[in-house]
Amino acid sequence: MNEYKEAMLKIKLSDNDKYILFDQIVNHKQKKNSFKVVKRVAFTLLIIGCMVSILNPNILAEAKEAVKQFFFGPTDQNGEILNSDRASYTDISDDFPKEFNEYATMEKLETALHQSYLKPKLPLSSILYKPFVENNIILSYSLTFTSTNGHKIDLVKMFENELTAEQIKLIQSPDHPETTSNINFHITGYSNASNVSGENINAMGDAIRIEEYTSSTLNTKIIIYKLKQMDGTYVTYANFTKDNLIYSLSGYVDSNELKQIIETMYY
Amino acid sequence: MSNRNEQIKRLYLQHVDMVFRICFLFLKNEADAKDGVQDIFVKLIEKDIEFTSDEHEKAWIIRVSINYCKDQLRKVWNKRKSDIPNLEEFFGINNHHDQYLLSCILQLPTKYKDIIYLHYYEGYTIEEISKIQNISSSTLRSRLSKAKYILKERFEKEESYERV
Repeated sequence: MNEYKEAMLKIKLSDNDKYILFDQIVNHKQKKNSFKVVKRVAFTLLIIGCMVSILNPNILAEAKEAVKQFFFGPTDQNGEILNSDRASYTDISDDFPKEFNEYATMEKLETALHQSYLKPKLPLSSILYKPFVENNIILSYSLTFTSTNGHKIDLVKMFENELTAEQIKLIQSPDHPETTSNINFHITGYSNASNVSGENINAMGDAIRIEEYTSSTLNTKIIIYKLKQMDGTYVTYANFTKDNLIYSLSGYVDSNELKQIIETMYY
Repeated sequence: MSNRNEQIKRLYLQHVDMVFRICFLFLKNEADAKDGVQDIFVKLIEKDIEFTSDEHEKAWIIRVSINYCKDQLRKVWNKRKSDIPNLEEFFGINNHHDQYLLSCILQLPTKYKDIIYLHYYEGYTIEEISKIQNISSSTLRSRLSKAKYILKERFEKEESYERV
């Protein structure tokens, strides 16, 4: 085993390597010490920040605004984002209107939408909730969400007996622009503080009126119209009001499909 | 230089070769062994342990080094490394016999390497190794005889190969 000892003795660091390693070890220790100091200072600042924000809620609001500006660009007086190039933005306010009070996360908001408006469990691709605030009071809010593909298939099933084979093919073809099966829902609600009633608002925009019908479910008059898009395709819109809420539904669907959605929504 | 720094330097110069050897034996790679030396001495400095004697100090460093290497070997990345290093390139060992001897030890399973190193190189008795590693003497004895058996078989194989 002396041979083994002799062989093992040859496994060693050169003097140069030893000194380089020693320097690294000592520097590592110094770096670690300065990192400890930085951590302590940051922790102290955090504690002070928390205490100040608890004592003065305005500071917390200002801090929130600063963070929003940092991530999403400049905002106007109402906190609206002026430049939205930097990121897509979904604003879920702390001051949710009463029907969404319990729902703080996107997942829960989605559940809420299904419970509040959508009867079948349709997949939602995007949700945008925007409150319009003045003097810390929500005057109104708008809620926009899009339900995706599965919906179209359900619709085809629903209308299988009524649609011609040609129409079904057109709906299901993924290449045709009219088959984009997204249905956009835009709902605007007004609080009592706004002194505005949804019933008094003309929900119809500058549109080509094509149809007017009275919903048996809503017991209200609904106007359905089509608008020509830049690419030459037509989007069907339905605007109506119910319980101080303005609903605007749109999509590459025909008026019968839109009516079906309106009749099957929860209100 | 303060007393503490003097003490660190003394500790380092006294034990760096031993720590490097243990790391190399387990990790089989010069760069990993150097990283090991750095991490182990940083740990030693941070812990700031009061050693009761030189033996206590040495035993502590051996134990920490072996544990460090075993932790590293448990990591998925290191499990994939199994090649025997080029001993001539790293340490200028060009003697074929030494190369073969060391590569046999490097190829031993992890649990046999430490006992072979501590018993035959550092000269610790089984009882001393038992205290350092917190493993029973009987387990260590059976590991030592198994390690010797594996090495003997490999040496005999090499000798018969050389004769041919």
